[in-house]
Amino acid sequence: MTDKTDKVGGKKKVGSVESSKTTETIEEAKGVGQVGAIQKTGAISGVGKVGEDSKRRPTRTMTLAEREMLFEMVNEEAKKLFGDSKVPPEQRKIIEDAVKMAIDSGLVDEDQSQE
Amino acid sequence: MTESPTEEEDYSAETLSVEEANELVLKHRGWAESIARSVARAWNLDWQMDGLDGAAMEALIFCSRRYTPDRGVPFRGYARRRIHEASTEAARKSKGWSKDDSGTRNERLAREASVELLNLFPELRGGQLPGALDEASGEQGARAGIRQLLIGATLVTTRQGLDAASPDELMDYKKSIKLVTTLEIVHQIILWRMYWESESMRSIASSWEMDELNVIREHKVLLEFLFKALSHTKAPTPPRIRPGLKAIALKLKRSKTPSPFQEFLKREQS
Repeated sequence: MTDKTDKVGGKKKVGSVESSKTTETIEEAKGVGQVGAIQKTGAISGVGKVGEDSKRRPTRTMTLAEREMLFEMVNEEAKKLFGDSKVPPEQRKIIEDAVKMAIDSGLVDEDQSQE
Repeated sequence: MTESPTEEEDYSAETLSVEEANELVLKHRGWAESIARSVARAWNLDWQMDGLDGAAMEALIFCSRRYTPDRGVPFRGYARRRIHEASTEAARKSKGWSKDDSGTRNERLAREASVELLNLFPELRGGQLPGALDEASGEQGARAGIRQLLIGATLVTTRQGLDAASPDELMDYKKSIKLVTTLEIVHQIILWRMYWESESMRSIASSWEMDELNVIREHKVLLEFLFKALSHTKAPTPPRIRPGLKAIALKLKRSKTPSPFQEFLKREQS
């Protein structure tokens, strides 16, 4: 489409329309394909609160390879706990050993337990 | 949390055929033996001489006969605690456990305390540390779990120590007890029933007709408080009672239920 413009008081104004192109004819309309049946959606297990996902962590099983690291953590946390406490030293040793034994008994050697 | 099978469990429906169950046994035999070896290693026992291998196998067979795959729980998740429990029971009954040269008095006390820890924190049997109160994961989560175990062991050994301490030692043990008496009565009762009467959290919750989670989460809060109180010179403020426990706390207050720990100290003094 083109238009002719004249200047009115230094400003352009729209003049007459000289020509316009006609819309081309539509040659053929194709039929809409068949709409398939609506598929069933998978079950939703539940919607958590906003931010909940960032808090939930899967429970992780300890491995035998982590044994020494875990024992070191027991030593460090026991040092924090008993640093200024009134717990007798003899009892401290029993506590540390008991915690290590309880953890150790749950550490399964995965290499020896393969199917 | 995966539940271990119980004697009362209904296993009439959807269990495996004998052939299929036997296949499971063959498939997981090495794994069950590994559990027995782990228990033996922790307590310096011989997994075969002390009969842990047989106990683990028996438990494996028991679980294979009751396993129902339709429930969607993997077999190892279903059977692990049961096999661990059977191995620890066999260990405690073994000659290696009871013979006089099986370690010093303190080593024996540590072993007994570790058995109690396994009952108080059954997730250990599945190779997991107790969960952190704030659901922290990684190293922070592991440390939080270890702190719970250390406080749990402190309470267990305090009870053990009170039973067999010399007068001087008794004074030290009583200091830990006095800290517990600063807690709300309902909180003291949770600790008393768990650590002095070996009651499970499930049983406490059931006697109070409430969701077990109330007791589980409050127990974690109490252990965290005790950790802070013992590791700092200035004791923190005792924790508030969670809403789910308020009704029972009120009931205890109205019935003027005394502090079990104060009563215990009174008995010790008299």
